[in-house]
Amino acid sequence: MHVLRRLRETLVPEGIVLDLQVIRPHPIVEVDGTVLCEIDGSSLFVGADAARAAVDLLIAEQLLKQEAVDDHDVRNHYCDGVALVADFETGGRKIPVAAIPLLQAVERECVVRERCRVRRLRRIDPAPQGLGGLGWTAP
Amino acid sequence: MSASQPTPTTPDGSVNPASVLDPEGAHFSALERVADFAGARVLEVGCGDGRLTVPLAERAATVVAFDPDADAVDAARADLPAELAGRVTFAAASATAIEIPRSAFDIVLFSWSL
Repeated sequence: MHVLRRLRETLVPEGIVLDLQVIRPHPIVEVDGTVLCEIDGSSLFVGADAARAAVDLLIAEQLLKQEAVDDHDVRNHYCDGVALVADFETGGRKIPVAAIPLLQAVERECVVRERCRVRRLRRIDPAPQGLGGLGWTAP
Repeated sequence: MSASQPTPTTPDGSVNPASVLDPEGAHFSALERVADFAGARVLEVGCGDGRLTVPLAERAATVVAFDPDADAVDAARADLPAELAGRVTFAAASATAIEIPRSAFDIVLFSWSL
C-alpha cells in the first residue's frame, strides 16, 4: 500500500493532507541577484513527479479532494561559492561542470533559489452504501 | 514566520553548516497560507532535523513528527525548545512501518516525503 493511502487513514474524516514538493524549473544560483547558473534538479523531480501521481490517483478515486495550491520560491543561502559547490558534491542535484570554477571563485554569499509547491487536499470518504441502496426499505 | 531559528539543511537531507535553508521562512509561510494549524493535531511525515516542526508546534495542539533518519530526529529533539516539549512526539521510523492510530490527526504534512 502506498504511504499516502496508508497515512490518509490516520486522518479524521475531512482531515487535511499537505504535500510539499520541489517543482520545475530547475534551481538557479544567484549572486547579488544575478543568475550565475542553473542546477540540474532532475533527481528531485523524479520523486516529486511520483508523489504527484500518487496524489492524483487518490483524487481520481475520490478519496482526496484538492482545495488549494501554493507555489513559492525558497532560498538556500551559502556563505560563499566554495561552500555551495561542496554541498552539491553529494546528493542527486548537479552543478554544471563548467560553472564550478566560476562559483568557487565567488567569495561572498551565494543563493540557490528553487520553486516549491504545497497542495492542500481534504480527505473525503465514499458515502456508506446502506440497505436503501440495495432497493430495500424499512417496513 | 516565528522566531524559530533556521537550521543548516537542504531539501535532499544533506547538512552543511556553511549554508542556511530558507531563513526567510518561505516554506512555513506557504503552509500557513493554505492551512490553519491553530489547535490542530498534526502528523509530520519526514520531519528531518525539525526545521518545520518547531513553528508547527508553536501553533498546533500536538505534533507527532517522524523520519527514518535517526540522527536527524535526534537533532530535532535536541533543538526543540523546552516549552514545546509537551506538544511534540518524535520518532525515528519509516512511513511504511510506523504504527499510528486511525483517525487521530487533523492534518498530515508530507515534507518532501511522499
